[in-house]
Amino acid sequence: MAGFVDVLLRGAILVLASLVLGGVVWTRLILRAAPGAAPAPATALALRVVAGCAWLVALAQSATMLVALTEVRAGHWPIAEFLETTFAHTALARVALGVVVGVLALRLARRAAGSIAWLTLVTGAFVLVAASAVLSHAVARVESRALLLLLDATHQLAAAVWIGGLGHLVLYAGWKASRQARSVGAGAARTGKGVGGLFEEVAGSDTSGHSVRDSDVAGDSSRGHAVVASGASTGRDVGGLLQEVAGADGDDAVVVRRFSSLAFVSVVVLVVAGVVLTWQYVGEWAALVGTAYGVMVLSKVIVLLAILALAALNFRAVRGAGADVRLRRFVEVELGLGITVLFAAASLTSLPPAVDVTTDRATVAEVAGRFVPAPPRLTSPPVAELIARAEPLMAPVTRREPIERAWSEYNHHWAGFFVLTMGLLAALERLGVRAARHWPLVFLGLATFLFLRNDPRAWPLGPAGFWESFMLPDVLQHRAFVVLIVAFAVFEWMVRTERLPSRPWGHVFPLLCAVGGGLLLTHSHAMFNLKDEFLAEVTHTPLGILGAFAGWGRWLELRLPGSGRGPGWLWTLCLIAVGLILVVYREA
Amino acid sequence: MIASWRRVLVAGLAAVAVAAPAAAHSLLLESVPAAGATLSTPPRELMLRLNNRVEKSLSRLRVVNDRGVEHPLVIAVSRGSADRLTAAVPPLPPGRWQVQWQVLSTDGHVVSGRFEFRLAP
Repeated sequence: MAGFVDVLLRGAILVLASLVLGGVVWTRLILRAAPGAAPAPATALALRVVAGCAWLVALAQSATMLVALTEVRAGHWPIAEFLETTFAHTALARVALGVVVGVLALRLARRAAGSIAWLTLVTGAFVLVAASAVLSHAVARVESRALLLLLDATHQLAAAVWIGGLGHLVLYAGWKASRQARSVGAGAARTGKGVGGLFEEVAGSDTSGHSVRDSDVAGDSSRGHAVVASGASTGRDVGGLLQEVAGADGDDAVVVRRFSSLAFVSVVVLVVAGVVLTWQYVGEWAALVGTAYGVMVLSKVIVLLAILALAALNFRAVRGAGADVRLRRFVEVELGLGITVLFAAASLTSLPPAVDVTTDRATVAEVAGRFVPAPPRLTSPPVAELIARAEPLMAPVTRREPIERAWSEYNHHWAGFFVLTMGLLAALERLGVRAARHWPLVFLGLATFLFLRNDPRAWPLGPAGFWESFMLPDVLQHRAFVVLIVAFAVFEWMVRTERLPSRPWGHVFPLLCAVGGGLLLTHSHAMFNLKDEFLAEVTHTPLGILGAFAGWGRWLELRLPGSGRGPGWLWTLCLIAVGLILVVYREA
Repeated sequence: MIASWRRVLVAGLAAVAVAAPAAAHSLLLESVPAAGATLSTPPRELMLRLNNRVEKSLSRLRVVNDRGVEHPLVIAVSRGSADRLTAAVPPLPPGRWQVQWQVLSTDGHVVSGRFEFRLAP
């Protein structure tokens, strides 16, 4: 249980710290907030988010210490010994940094401050993220520690600037859109531009260069004109004037182009550092396929490639190929997939590096064997026999009986039939068969099936009580999945039958799919050796990736109505693929 | 609308809150006695080598036999490299013994494991 909480906290810290550093860089390099100037509304908003996230980092980091301390407790709380560890030193430093950065960011959001305050904020945010390397594999390695720490810190800094920046871009776009809607609603549409939102402006802007230029600013709004005139009359230099414009209201097209350039550089740094780190921790191609660490790295790469494909489309759009609201929606998906990657990275820190896994490594043939289709099991082993042969639910797992494998395969195969049925019905609905729109209800059947059969040694089939069995992480995860499935079924069915509006309730489907996919990427069964555990779970990886893609496909379908049939068919085909993989699932 | 969004967000966050557990992070690379070994004389010392640095003062070692007799061992904190745990072992009677270990790795992960050896009569 503690391991699960630890991964959760580490993932949350990665996301929050990214929003801190990404936000600070966003205010300085994108909005060009300048020392000595009163914070513009957009800058103040970003800094308030930075402050909140920094304090949450401090809170979550404190919680990681509590989790570790609880685990090492042996009759007494070994606080003195704990405070002497590298982990405690680093975690405490991050807590202090989080508090200081939060206070400083809030102060800068409220009033003008000098360059020392800004420098302290920037330095604090960078150190906050870089210190994460001292809580990673790098610090615990016996060899090449300094190089690994440097690479890890670089990798994390680049990821934070990019993904945290994406978060602030989405926030900024939402804030601009709501502000414009409010001003139009109040009859204050005096600026001469529509309410199309931030990204629509990019398409219409001059895109022949990506530095801030007069035409970018003056052509955008009456406020821009006013500031230009004001600046010219006071004789200030053009650079300072443009900074004021960007800082005061943000020239949206320029903001997007600036971020696009920053994101490009960040991604290059992230990938280069990531490739070298992967080589250090994986060591050889076979380990990339034959260990949990290697497969998790591959998962990260696949999701990253999807993000980069979207980013490439956005990069081109920002530079003049034409853009519309698609840009904003794609950025939302980039951010969502980016958060999935950060949680996968947190999960990676809990796995032994592949280069260390030598005796428990699976061969490529063994991994491939788990994907070879076999006839599904249509009959279940008797539950009484399973309970008699398997170890008690709460006992440490030391072996896995053939009957347990048969039970698990039967469960996966029937779950596959449920999902495949839903995928096919969803495809029929897409082809115009109206009655097929009730397909989400099939999920209720799946939820009931899983609830009854997931954990045969626990209530209602087995001797372990309902509440008692919650203490086991596997059972907790399985029941959480059941709750997710029920929620998914109910909300999606009500949306499809128009009992609930698709906004916001239609978003439950993509959010749950994305979260479920992320959970599957980190899903872990406690088994008695790493190889068996890995081989049982290796098929979960494509399921997790397909789940995340299905979710974000549906997100685009909902939020980008003009996107054509692509996103809709994407999630439908993902659902069918998930069903097919489950139907041929095998554990031996 | 904002209230509705909050509900959706809460549902998403609640789902995130049930994320999965970690697998083993620290690996036992070698030990003396070796896992599965049969010894003719009782070991005087136990040594474990892991794949990463550990905080020795917060690590634990003990040997337990199949009758539940348990001997907690005192780890030599200042001895050996950061990836090795050593401890003196009290005289053990013949039988099957299980070594149970728990370490706090330098990066803050707590991992436990066990292995067995046999002491011939």
